[in-house]
Amino acid sequence: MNRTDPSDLFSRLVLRSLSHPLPAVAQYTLATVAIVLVGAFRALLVPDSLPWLLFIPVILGVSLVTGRRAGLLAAAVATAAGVATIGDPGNPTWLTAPQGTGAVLFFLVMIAFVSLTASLRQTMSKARALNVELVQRERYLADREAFLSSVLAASTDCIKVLELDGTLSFMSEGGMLVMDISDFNAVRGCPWPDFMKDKDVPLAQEALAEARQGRSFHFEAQANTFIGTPKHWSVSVSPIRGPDGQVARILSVSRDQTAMVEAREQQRLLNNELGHRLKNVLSLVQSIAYQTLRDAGSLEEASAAFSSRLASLGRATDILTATAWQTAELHAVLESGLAAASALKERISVEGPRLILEAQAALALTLAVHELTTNAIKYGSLSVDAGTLAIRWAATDDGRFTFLWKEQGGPPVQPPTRQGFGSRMIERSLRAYFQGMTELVYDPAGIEFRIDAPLPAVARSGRV
Amino acid sequence: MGQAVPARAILIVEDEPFVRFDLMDFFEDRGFRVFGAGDAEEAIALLEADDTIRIVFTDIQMPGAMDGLMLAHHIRERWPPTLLIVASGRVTPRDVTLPARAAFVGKPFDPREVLQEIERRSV
Repeated sequence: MNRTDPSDLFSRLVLRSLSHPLPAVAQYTLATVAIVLVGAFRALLVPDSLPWLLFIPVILGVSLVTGRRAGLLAAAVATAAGVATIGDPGNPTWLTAPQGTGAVLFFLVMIAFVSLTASLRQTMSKARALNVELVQRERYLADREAFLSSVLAASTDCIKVLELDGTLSFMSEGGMLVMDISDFNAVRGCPWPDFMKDKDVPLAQEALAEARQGRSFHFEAQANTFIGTPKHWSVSVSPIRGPDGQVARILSVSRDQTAMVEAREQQRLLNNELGHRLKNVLSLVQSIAYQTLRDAGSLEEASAAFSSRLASLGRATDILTATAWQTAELHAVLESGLAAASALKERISVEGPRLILEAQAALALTLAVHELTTNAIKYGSLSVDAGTLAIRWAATDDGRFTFLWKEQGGPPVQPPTRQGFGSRMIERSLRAYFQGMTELVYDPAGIEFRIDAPLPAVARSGRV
Repeated sequence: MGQAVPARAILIVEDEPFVRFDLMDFFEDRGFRVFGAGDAEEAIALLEADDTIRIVFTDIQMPGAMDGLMLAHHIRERWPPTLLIVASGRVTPRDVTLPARAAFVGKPFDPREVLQEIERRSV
């Protein structure tokens, strides 16, 4: 803006008259009044000398500030005023011959001066207009550059400009940030493909070759940041054309997709793990099926028992899903194992501390409790109104886990004639799962089932 | 059954007790003498104690210092004539190097297939 603000008063006055032109009438009035005042001043103070001289700066001033027409008017009025004040009333021609020649010469010279000055004024006007345009253009370019810079800086992509040979010539601020580069000069001129992991270098070279041919290219690659942090990138390479339409440089935009790639990998691992667990559960189901059919009295009985066992397994799965198949809490395990007796809750008392079980033990205990519950409802204490069931467990200070299932008030218990699924499952499987002692007692007063196992094998994170 | 010939002995190495006992039942029902182990250490102890065990079925994924694959290699080296069957629900034979003459089954499997494999390899 300084360029349009000249320091001297004279130029400022001229520029002001250019930006705020007076109406024509005012211009003419100004010219006339100024000349008349100067004429009167001269006639009063120095009547005998300088008839023309004082008019010259006024005419020049008027033509500079108002232009050619008012300038010519001022010249004419000044000539008239001069003629009027220097004449002699006794002379029939008013002026002497030299005076008349002087007046004519003055007028002619003034016309020339006015023309010259008006041209000068026009030139200043053009210069001013050019200046304004230049300043506007500069401001537009500065704004545009600031805008583009802010857009580039705002992007978290790594935006780079490469020379045709693939060397780096520009990198966006955001790009330097994600690439851990603090000073671009450290990488200026480096071959861009060298940043890629060895296996991806050919891809980057192919991208450059395509861009040089005027085509865009996209690829995914691994590259370390400047300080060696490995990252995954999604890279788009495209040609930048010069004014002649030829590929002048190459644009490369890389997006850090490390988090996405890692999430994808995590998901793949989870899927594999899920597949593995699914197969394990299927193996378990297969075993339950074989064991169920092995000692079934009839197809109908086997079908009913199998369905009920699968439902119990499903409930155990619910508890385990909540902890990603790691652990289950004993109260929750019992609740799912006792689901068949949910209508008889007031006759069942459950007491014990919060205890975390490993997934395998939790599944086995759910199935065992399910077998005991089904048996109690069919033949045991829960088969009659007066019968009760007490479940107690403790984690003792010497590191043992004791569990007791005790039925009371049911019909007299008779030992089974042969071992069925339930008792086999309870006795040998639970023993193995808990790596301790299990005991199923057919006390005539009511069935009793005990576990006595070392705590570490049972509780993963101990008592709470 | 099979009184004329002494019953064949099979060792089932599987860390999931329920599946282990089920497989043991299956082979017991078909006239085998069965042994079960929950990990490699237990399996080796059983093999050392009873030299009539000539068939070993082992799961690959098992807790402990030695997994089922290492156990299978160990058995092949120490008791070369043993009939080995290796199972896994996680890996395929392409992912691992099985001992020579070991059969692989993917979990879950039909125990009858394992039995057929044993019969085929016993001839």
